[in-house]
Amino acid sequence: MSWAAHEFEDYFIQKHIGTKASFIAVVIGAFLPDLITKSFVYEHSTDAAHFHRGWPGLGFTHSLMFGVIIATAVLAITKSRSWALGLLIGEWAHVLTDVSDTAGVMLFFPFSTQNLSIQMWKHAASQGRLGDAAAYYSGLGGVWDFFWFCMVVIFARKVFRADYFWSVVVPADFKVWSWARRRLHLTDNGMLLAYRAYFLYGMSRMVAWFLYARFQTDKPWQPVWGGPKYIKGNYLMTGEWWRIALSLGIGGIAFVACLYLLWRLVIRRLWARGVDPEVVERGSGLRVAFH
Amino acid sequence: MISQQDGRELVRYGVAVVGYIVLAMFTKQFLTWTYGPLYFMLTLEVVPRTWRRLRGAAGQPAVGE
Repeated sequence: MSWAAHEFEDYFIQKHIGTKASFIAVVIGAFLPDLITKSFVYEHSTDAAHFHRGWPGLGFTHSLMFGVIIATAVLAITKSRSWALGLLIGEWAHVLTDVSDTAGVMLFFPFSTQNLSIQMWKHAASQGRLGDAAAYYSGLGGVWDFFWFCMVVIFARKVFRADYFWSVVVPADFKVWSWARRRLHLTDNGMLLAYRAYFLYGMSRMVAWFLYARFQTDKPWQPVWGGPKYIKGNYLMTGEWWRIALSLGIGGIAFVACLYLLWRLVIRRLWARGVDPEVVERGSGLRVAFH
Repeated sequence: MISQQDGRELVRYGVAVVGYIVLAMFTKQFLTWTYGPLYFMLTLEVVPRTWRRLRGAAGQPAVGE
């Protein structure tokens, strides 16, 4: 799992979606996989990783298909294309990021229950919340957070400008921002702050957890692939490599075929009757969602 | 070039971030994704706004208004 990268990625995505998807939907989509699992993960300390990422368990929340189903349901109910796209992009970003820890994700569930992982840092949920955080910020996990922090600050810092917020973010989701303003009695400054809050939170969280891992747990910093070596991680991608490759290959092909069928039979019609905010001009291909 | 107003805003944000980190280190209560952003809304919007309103009500010139 990733601790602050999920927050930073949202702003990097915002730079590329412009007005074509709702930023609030991207944020919710990025939280969706952990929304119904994270609070329970540390209570299942004997089998936390399996509960969080495996099957049987709640690992299906960390699959590409989960994002497709949620986005399709939202498109059917609200007819909002920008919300459906935002949720899909946010959820997929979360799932693809979580491929990096040792537990990995069931990318092609339900067609394959095989976890995919590049084992860059330790998934150590069985150590409890503080232990998991200490492991993450003692290995490459913290470096990954910092990488996304730099990506946003260097390449996407324009998204934090007030004029960007008022001319791109708000018009892309005018109804929801207006509703939030009315219901929560937000001022202009409050609206802007609500938009920037997750970045500030991600930054604070990254520094606080890193300092905690360094000075309150006395764990050495081991920013090496698969580290830190002194902590027992949770591994869900086990077995012979060819079995893993075969399962993921079949799962991937079945997922793409299912997606195509869903598009032809259901999603295309829902998309056609969906509505866009006035400012949105969609192109074709990837330009439907990105500019 | 950062304007004076942007600079002041950056300083306020920086103070709130440092406050979060100090709070987290001392209390070991690492705010979760729901309360974390709320902390920034409180420290950077609700508290200063309430403070300005109270100063205004007390007959003193409201700072920043």
